[in-house]
Amino acid sequence: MERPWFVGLILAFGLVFAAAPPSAAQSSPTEAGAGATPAPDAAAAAGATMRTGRGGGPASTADHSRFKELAGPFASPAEVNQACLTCHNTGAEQLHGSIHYTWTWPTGKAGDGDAAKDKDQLLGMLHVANGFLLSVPSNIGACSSCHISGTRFDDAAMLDPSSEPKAPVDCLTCHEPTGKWALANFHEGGAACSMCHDQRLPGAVPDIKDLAAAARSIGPTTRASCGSCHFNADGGNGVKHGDLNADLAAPAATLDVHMAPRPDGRAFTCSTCHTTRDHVTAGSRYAGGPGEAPRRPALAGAAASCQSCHTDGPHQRVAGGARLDRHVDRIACQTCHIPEIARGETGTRVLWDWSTVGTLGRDARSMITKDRNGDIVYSSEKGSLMSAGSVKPTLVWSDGQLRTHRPGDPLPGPVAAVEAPAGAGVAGGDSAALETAFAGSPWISSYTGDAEDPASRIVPVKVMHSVVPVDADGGALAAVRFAGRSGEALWNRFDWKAAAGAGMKAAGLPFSGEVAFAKVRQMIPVNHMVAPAEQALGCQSCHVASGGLLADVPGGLVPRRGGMGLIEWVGLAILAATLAGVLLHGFARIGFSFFYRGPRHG
Amino acid sequence: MVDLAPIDPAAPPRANPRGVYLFTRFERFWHWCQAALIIFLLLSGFEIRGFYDMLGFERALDLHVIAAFALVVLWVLAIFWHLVTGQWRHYVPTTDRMGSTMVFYAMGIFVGAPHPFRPSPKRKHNPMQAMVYLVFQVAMAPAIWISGLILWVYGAFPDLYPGELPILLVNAIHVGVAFLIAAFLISHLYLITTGETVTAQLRAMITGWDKHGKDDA
Repeated sequence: MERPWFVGLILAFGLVFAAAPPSAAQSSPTEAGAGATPAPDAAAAAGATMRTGRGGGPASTADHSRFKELAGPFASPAEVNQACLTCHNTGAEQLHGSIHYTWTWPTGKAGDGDAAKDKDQLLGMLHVANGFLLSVPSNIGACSSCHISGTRFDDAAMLDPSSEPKAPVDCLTCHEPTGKWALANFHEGGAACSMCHDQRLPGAVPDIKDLAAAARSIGPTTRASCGSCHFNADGGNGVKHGDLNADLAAPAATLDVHMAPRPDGRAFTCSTCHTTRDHVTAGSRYAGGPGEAPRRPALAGAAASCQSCHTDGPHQRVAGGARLDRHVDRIACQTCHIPEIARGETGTRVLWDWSTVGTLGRDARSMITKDRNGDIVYSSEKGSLMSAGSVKPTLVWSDGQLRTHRPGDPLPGPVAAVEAPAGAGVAGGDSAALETAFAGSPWISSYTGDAEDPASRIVPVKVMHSVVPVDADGGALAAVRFAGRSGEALWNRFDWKAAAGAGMKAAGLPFSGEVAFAKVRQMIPVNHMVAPAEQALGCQSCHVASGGLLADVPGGLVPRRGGMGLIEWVGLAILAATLAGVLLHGFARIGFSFFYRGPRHG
Repeated sequence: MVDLAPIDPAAPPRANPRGVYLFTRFERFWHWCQAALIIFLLLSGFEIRGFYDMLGFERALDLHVIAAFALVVLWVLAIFWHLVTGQWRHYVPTTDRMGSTMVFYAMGIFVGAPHPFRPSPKRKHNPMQAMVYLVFQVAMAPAIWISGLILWVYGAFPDLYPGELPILLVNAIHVGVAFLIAAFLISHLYLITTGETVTAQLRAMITGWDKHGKDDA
């Protein structure tokens, strides 16, 4: 008898699999325990540092309320700032180099010699266009009521700290802890109401009369002080960012598990994560990506990332944690842990149709229209609007790099002239109709990255839908002058030609003189409103046979996402052929059995 | 070559009315446990692949992994048993009567022709059967286990996973072989019915006794 060759094979497999079982237990307790041990220590250490070092705790040895330099009285904010700078004598220089000051990325003092970079390469609010308040050129006076220079509101040169006179800084905007100073300052500073408000609110504007008291109250930044600008980005509370609005001033743990007070939350301020060194704040949508620097600890310096505290293996203490950790090289933390944005009282704007501005009320003055829920759906000055609460973000591949557009850039796709106002078709809060209406519209700001790029992750974004003015000849994004005393300003005469003409002129761009409108979309990053773990997405949010969140996101290994590949078709064909074969054979046997009977083996 | 007993139509009637004791207690235990596990693995596996909703993704995946390791343990036992008892000989491929067996299933079975092969404790499987089982054991099962093990390591021990191995390919192999095993199962279930009577082979696999087997003695 020959020695059969497969005995060796079987023996080999037997040995391999005999060795496998000891490591087989899926959620091995020793593994989980060992892995989990360092995490609580690290968290405790980080917590301790935060308790003593940040959030107005007793870490500082200086009590500003007792400084005689701050006793006042102060006649103007400039005097307050001067008092600050007598001790903090490098504060202004530090601030001048920050994106908060120059609205320009990459940072660097915009007027410096090395900043002679091609202006077309620069990013930041000063340079790019968006689908909200469009762009800064020609609106500098109205936009800059948010600026931290404090005093040179109408001067475009204020964004250039090297210009003369030596640019001032306004310390109170960020360091007055209630945020009221910043709000009062906007209103003092000549901001156009419509920049932040869709309707004129009843009641007095915020006011701070006692500058000395404000000066003595200063401290580290707070959610309220940062929020006085960032919660109101692009036209009011929560308008731009579904994940940043005034609800975060005092959030419940269900809204933001980091920012909520203890014990349910961790009482983070913005700067707990956006660590700041020399007045330069970590975390910018222009820098970094979801796949970057996974293990850099926050304590080692500026690093606004989840991994800085949570590591890139954060699920060890959870059942099936290894499997969850398996996701982190492809799925950003935010994707599962921010299942919805604008989960509080404040909604976020999802549609802004500029093409419909200018319809006045019966009194021939600007008006607003509200829907049944009390949401503003039309404003004479802003056009058709739609806001939504508890918005499920859209999931896309991202390497962290935004493909932006600036005024004058032609749209990437053919400009579809919008005949009927887009807002009219989708008003009534139907977000599905909104998506359909904008399907295929070009992105004026979108993430690059894809499944093949190892640095890319699937991230959540808020998709903003806008109908924006463009140059009718060539489709270049138009800069528009909104506010001011002149008749060119859109909000004075609703004359698009004049307003776009003024805007394009201020931006130094050619303009044909005719305005058309284009539907565009924009991705807004989603990083805040991290929910408690139990609210995070579950397996079946994506791993479902149909209708999963990743159904339309290509690439990656997503078991159970459904869809039929080559393997599935070939496999099913083999199954069908086999089944057909045995059925045919079986029926033939039954048929023949009527004619041939008898035992098979005699 | 393995020597197969020739059919002797004039063989004397068997002494034991229950027939021949073909499948020992361990073989039957192994067979039925394996059957249950493979059917469960197919059902849960195709759910994980996204063909239907039954257990829910996470539970399906957890149970799939547990069942897979149970099957591995079972196979380790079975391989040990086959080696020790020498029963591996039943899977040694042979060409003896292969042709006539194929002709039987293609034609003879319809017209009541005798099966060219009769199982005996020395040779329990007909040549076609032995060949298919061998393919299952040395190709399909290892392919799905190794690819499955790699997928499991990918999920459970990312650090051990070789980054340059394309996981989508491993997954495709795993899914593809699963289809082949499902096809194997379908034909296997059908061929059970092609014994002396429709249930004769099923009964043999349950009781161990084959009424129509041939006694080697």
